[in-house]
Amino acid sequence: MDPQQDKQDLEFEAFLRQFRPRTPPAFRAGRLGRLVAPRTLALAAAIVLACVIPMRFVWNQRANPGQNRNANTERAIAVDGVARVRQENPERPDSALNRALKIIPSVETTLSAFAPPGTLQNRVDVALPAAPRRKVLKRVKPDYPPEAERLGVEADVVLRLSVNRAGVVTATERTSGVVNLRPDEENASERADFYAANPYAFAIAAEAAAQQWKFEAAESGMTCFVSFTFRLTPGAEANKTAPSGSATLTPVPGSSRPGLPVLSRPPQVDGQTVKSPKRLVNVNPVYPEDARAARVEGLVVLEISIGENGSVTDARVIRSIPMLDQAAIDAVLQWIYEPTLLNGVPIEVELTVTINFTLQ
Amino acid sequence: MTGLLDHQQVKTLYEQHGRVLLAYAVSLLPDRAASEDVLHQVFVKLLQGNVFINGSPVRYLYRAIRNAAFNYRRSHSREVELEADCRWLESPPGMEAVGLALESALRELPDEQREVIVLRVWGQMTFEEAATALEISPNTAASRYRYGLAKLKERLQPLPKE
Repeated sequence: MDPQQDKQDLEFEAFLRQFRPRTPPAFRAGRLGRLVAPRTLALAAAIVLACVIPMRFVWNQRANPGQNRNANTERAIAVDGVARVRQENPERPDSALNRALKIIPSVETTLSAFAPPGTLQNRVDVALPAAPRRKVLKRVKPDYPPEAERLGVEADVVLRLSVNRAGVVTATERTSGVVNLRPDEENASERADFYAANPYAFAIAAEAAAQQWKFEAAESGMTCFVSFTFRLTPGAEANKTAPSGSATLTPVPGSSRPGLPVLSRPPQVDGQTVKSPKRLVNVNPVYPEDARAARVEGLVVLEISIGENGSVTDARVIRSIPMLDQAAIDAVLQWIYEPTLLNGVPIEVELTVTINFTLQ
Repeated sequence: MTGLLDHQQVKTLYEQHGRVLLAYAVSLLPDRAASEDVLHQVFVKLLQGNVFINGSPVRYLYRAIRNAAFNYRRSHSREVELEADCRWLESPPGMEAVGLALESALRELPDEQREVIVLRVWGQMTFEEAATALEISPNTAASRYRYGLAKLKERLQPLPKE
């Protein structure tokens, strides 16, 4: 070895030694005579928190039995819909829903007063689950198709409205439509005939109303989802004589945040519609961390098969958001429905469900 | 100090060698927190009193740190590495920029060269001792050291002349 080289190395070593390694944490042996690594402490803290938070939740549950969701999860994942979101935390003054409703308060108008007792009852609910990007200046409620109302046909229609800069609805697109013909009840054949003759009665009524909507003007156009739910709820007077009709509008604003038009196609058996089974066990999807980090939101539509015992036996993606599909499938496979009966015999049914992933 | 170590002996080892052992761990791991964990894992094992040391405890410690660091790297290999928290040297006053450059240059060295440099420069080990700790031959340790030192010199060339 070259002595000159060695000397240079030694000098360089001495130069390097001027930089001293930083001091590690002080030696602190606890009562157990052990060092505790920082991550061990963090883990212990996490365990304590994990125990304390549910206890707090239970405590809150006792104090406020109706309040069973915290603000963060409030709109994080809304499954199966409008009704669900509208039900969320009605008593929480700071909820996203209530904030939105303060901007455009929920309007519920009962028109039964205008109808003579014993005749049909119309009720129109307007609710905005989230603040729209543009204010709605004029809302028109759809008419319940009279023949459908007489026959007791219910429906759900979702439209996508295209709104121009002036705030005028320039186009409507039927995003989904579901008609419940109640085939297991009396007069089913009349309803089926009506539907065969007028398959778009509800969609036409909804479009006719939506085309009259007016939004405030803005610098650019936008799209906005509106959900129309036509339901028959027997009124106090009408109960004895005839069903009453109601149409619920739920505009869901924003093109970039599709929000909540969450509808399910009623289950099909051999191409026939049967009554939607009641979901007994619901498991919310877990928002995937990578999707959350990438701020991926939207609707995943699944077609699920429900076995005779009510469990979900299969789930197929119809509308895919790749980062969210698996979470949706994982959740729905844990759902349990009331077994669907056809002539008293449990049957397998298929159902379309939509899961809305929304970040706060 | 051969055999099982008592609490006081472990404490003395930690106080005397903890600093360089931590530097050694930092030279093998992406961040200081992980390095502290590894260092503490090794000392916790010693405190548990079930480690029989045959030979020099210091050599054992370096080897244990190295093994623990490699285990850590293997078990965390799927994690995404964030920006390295590599401040592990204290610079003399007025030489902070050189210190940063040195840390950066050390990080760019291959692991096997960096660990020999840490053991030799800051651990003040001979090549034989470093070779034992790393389970390599002294000649290999010396050549890795020289290659590493040459690279460091090259990287720091413009800086030490200030």
